[in-house]
Amino acid sequence: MSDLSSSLPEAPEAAPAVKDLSVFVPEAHRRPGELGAAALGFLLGALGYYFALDMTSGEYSSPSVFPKFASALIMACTGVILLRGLKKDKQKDGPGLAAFLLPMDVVVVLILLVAYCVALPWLRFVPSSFLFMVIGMVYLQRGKNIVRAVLISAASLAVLVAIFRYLFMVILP
Amino acid sequence: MRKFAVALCLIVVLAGAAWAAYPEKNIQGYVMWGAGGALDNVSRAIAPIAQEHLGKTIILQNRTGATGAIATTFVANQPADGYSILFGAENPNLYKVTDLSKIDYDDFEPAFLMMANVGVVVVAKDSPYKSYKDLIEAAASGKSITMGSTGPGGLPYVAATMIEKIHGVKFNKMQFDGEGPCITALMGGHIDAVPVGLLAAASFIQSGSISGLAMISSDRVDSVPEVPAVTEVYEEYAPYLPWGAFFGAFVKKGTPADVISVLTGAFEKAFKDPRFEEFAKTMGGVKLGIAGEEAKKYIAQNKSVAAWLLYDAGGAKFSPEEFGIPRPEGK
Amino acid sequence: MEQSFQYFLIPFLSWEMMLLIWAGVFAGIWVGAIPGLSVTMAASLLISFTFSWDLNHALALICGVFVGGVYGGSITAILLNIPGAPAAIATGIEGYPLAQLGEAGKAIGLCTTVSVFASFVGILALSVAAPVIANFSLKFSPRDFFLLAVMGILLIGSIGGGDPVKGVAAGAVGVLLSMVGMDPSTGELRYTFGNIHLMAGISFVTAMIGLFGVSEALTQFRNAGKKSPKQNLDRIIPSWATFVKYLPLSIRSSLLGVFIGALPGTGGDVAALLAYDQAKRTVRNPSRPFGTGAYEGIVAPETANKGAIGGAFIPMLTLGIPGDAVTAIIIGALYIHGLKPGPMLMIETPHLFWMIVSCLSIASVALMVLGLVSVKPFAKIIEIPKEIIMPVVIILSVIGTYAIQNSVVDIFYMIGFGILGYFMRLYGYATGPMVLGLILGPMLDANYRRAMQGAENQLLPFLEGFVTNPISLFLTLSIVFLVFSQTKVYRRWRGFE
Repeated sequence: MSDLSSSLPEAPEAAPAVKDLSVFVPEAHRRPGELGAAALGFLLGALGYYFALDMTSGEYSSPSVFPKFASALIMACTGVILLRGLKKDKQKDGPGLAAFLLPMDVVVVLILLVAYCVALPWLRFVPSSFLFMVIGMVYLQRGKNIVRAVLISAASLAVLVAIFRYLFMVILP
Repeated sequence: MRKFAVALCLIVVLAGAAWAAYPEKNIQGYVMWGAGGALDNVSRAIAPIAQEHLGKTIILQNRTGATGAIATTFVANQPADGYSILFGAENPNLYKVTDLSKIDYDDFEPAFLMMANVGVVVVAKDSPYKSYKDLIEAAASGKSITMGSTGPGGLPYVAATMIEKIHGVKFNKMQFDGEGPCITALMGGHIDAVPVGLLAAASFIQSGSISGLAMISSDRVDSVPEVPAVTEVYEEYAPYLPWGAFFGAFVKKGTPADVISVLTGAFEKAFKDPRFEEFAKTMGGVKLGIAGEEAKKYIAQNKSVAAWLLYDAGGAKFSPEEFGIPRPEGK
Repeated sequence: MEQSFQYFLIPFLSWEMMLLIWAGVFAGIWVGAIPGLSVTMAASLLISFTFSWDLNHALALICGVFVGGVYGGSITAILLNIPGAPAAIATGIEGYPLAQLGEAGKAIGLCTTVSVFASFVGILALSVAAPVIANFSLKFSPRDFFLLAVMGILLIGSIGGGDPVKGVAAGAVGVLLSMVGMDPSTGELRYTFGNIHLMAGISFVTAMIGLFGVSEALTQFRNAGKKSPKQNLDRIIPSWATFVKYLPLSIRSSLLGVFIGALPGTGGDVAALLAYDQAKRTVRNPSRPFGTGAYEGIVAPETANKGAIGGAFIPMLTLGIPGDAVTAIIIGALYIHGLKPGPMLMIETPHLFWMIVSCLSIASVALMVLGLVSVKPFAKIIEIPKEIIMPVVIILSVIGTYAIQNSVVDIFYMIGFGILGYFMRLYGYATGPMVLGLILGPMLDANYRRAMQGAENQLLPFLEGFVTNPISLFLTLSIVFLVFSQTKVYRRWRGFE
């Protein structure tokens, strides 16, 4: 019985990084851009409602019922979040908006992703994916192990292409 | 001399490439409805036999959405070389009048029409409506009848519109996203009746789980001989018939004629193959097996009936006249 | 009876069928594990592929892929927090934190064991109670499917992270996004703005891969330099005592799975979500708090989605109505092989029923062996430094997304959802509720409207239905209870707090 209720100590550094971010603990200070995010959500709800006005309505079973309901719900929730955020203090020290949203590594990966999307239609799938993986790995390992990065990229791409192209007969872009 | 030989080789190779018999690589087939549906079954039954005659594989994939407009638009944007085949049903015939898409079968050449699907009005096995007349008279007396339906352009939708228009009745409609779910709801007693394609209903009628009241055609159909043709009860249906769904293979307009004839030939052989015969018999559909001008005429007739029906019933955005679709005669 | 047993033995007497089932399970695990590749896709591909085969052989292979594929989805959910299939979303909620604690081996080991158990529960239900369950499942009206979807939506309370308001907001955005495209029942275009790509709607698998996979990868890059967790692989097979401890939960969840699987149109994904929610509300002392790596949160969804396999065959084999997308394809396969799926199937070809039962049983045994053998190599994947694994994960997500319907536009959507998910996480909006909204949105919308149409668009008869129909009444009361059970009063009374 005890083997699963684990003897492993709940080491703090073992706690997943993701959960730290997604579990919202009511904080005294609001995060940079928190109000903006809620306002964007509210805007999305408002736009959703606005465009739903064009849909067929008039009956309880009209196609516009659920879009309107969902949009109104978004507006209500983000409205509450917005009000709560306003009550909190602005963060004094700590990272600015840009540094909070986009640390260097994330920026680089995002740029790589966008470049990948642009390159995909005319470089085809295999070369652009290979480049993405190699550049990504080399950058994230800070320029070390270039040969390993190339080898791993080539190997994993070969496996993926084999599975998708030849087993599943998916014609790659 | 050497140069000449090289040049000769080159010419032979180039010419070979230009004159290589179609097909020289695998063919992509795009099915406009989802896996497990009637169109998908028909396509997956005929394609493996046809590819035996083509010598290359037909790779089928389902590209669903917007009652097939996604697949239709996609194939219309592929090169007209016969390597992209659209496996389609009757739905594109209504794209223009419903303003769903500008691209319909006018932009395609039918390589082969495999099967037709006839509408059949079905009710639950313990339904109070024992005959088609019962059902229509109950509706005419103002009794509320809940009828299953699908999206505009689907066979159940157009058929229900036809019935309402001919008899001047109104049904309470419950909309499902396919014929299968309609039959399930019928068996569970959640709707009173539904017109569906025979392919979806034949095995259920044969086993007695549901009963067929009338075929929406001028003749009875072999697989369910006990179900009367609707014209036996009401003559008024005659001008709209023959009408139903169909399943075919299409290529983009502009595809070379010899490529189309290779495809048509392969499908024709597959169509006559005993394995496909067997399949068609179990499915309960009506075999068509037409190509070329005959197929085009068939599609045009279907289009004119469906488009005008929908327009007259107020379900279309534009008049079929705007697209030069003639009104069916006698109507 | 003797006859049935003979039919049951068919696959045992043919080495080809045995081999095909094992090969199917092995392939299925990979198909399930790779996001974007689904059992539905594999099955429809196999139909063309096995066209000229003997039907028994084709069915053996498809059954193997089915069982392996449902299981494989959980592997990637536990290891990388990318559910390989929607049925594994709930598993990832508890499985991924466990992997981060170094217990991926134990988690997958437990998942394998209870999966095999649940799969047998499903098979048992299929063989002894199929006609009863099938006829009962037909009684579910659109109103009841609507209520089931509402029950699923309540899960937002459980997976919404710390703040329920943010969870509801994310869920509502998911529902709104699921409305994009052509309304399947009226054909009306909603939020399409004349764009042909929007007309097909937003595939929730695309969104799921982006919101879980790519956003996870991006979030990981925020903490560069953090080492990947070391895995403890000493005891991967759970002890008998552990198995017995989770037995009541396993039985409950697998039966729930059988039933949800048997309902036409709902499958393992809804079953797993409902089972997870149910476990979270009823398990008194979980091994860890839910959301941080509770083994109960793996047992419940895993047993439910395996039970749903047997469940999905119930209406298919008795009535000819598919229980889910995979059985819909198998029906197509039967047609192509000249058989008549439907109520006559049992009478005309009785061997088919028992042969499928037998194939599924063999596949479950194969799953036990193949699953446990591959635990260690799979768990090692997490030890690969994230600088290397994350770019590969992104490319895997890209190719998987493309494979769903061969569309480059879907890749852009997927990456867009990934970036959106990354920002959502930064502000404490969990991505789970959004995916939930995308999955359940169409089910809510369509069934609510059908129920309303059934009541001829009158509010009063519509509401009356919830209390006059016994099934609806039961579901309505369950929902009232679920909501009530979250209140302080109840929790104090039952001793949760």
